[in-house]
Amino acid sequence: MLRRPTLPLLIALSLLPAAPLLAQTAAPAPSAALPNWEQLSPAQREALLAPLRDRWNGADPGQRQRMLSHGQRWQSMSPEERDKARRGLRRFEHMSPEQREQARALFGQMRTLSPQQRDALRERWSQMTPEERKDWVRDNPPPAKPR
Amino acid sequence: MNRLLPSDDALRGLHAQSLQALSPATLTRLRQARHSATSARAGRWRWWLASACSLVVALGIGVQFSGLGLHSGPAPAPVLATVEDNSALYDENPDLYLWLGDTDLAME
Repeated sequence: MLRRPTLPLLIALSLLPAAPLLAQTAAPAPSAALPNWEQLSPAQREALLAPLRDRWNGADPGQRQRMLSHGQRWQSMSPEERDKARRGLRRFEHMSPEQREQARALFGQMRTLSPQQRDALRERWSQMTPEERKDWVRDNPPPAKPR
Repeated sequence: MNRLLPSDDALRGLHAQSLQALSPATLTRLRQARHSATSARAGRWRWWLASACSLVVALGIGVQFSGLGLHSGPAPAPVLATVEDNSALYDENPDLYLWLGDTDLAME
């Protein structure tokens, strides 16, 4: 026969399986769809803006000017252009530092060329070996970022 | 009036005398009754103590599971910090991204 002091302990232990259920009801659902910016709470907006504010405050005058003009450029894009740019951003994020340097150099060079010259460079680039590409980037460095 | 009431010493003597007059069996029964009354009170206290401890343990576990407890780890990072602190959006020329997203030129 069970002694009485063991009874409360058994009751508490029997309630343990309900603990995860309590946790689920107390914690917010991670996959809940978040609303548009206008419907976000001030705290949510603050959480989203904090990294950008810190970055802006830590930037020098040249970097601030670049950030602003880049932001304005993003804003001026059409929805289709923005989709392409986002795709390019994802591609860029998966590149190594060396590949990023190649992309900057190629982009900088392409902007100065005529359509025919661009096609020629594309053809030439696709036939280059990795070493030849390194040499080409060394000879055609990307334009320095304006300060 | 004092002459009508027995003194304390006289009463104690009478009590001691009456105890000696009791049979060993009666004394044993009295001792057992006193002991069981004391142990019942102590048992009640133990029961309440065990209940309180169990409740505290259950509440503690519940608080830990529900996330209401104090977190000792670092605070969760803001959502945008996962996208390279959002710096890539503003560091590079957006037209570079536009060109990269449109060209099939292999660079990777």
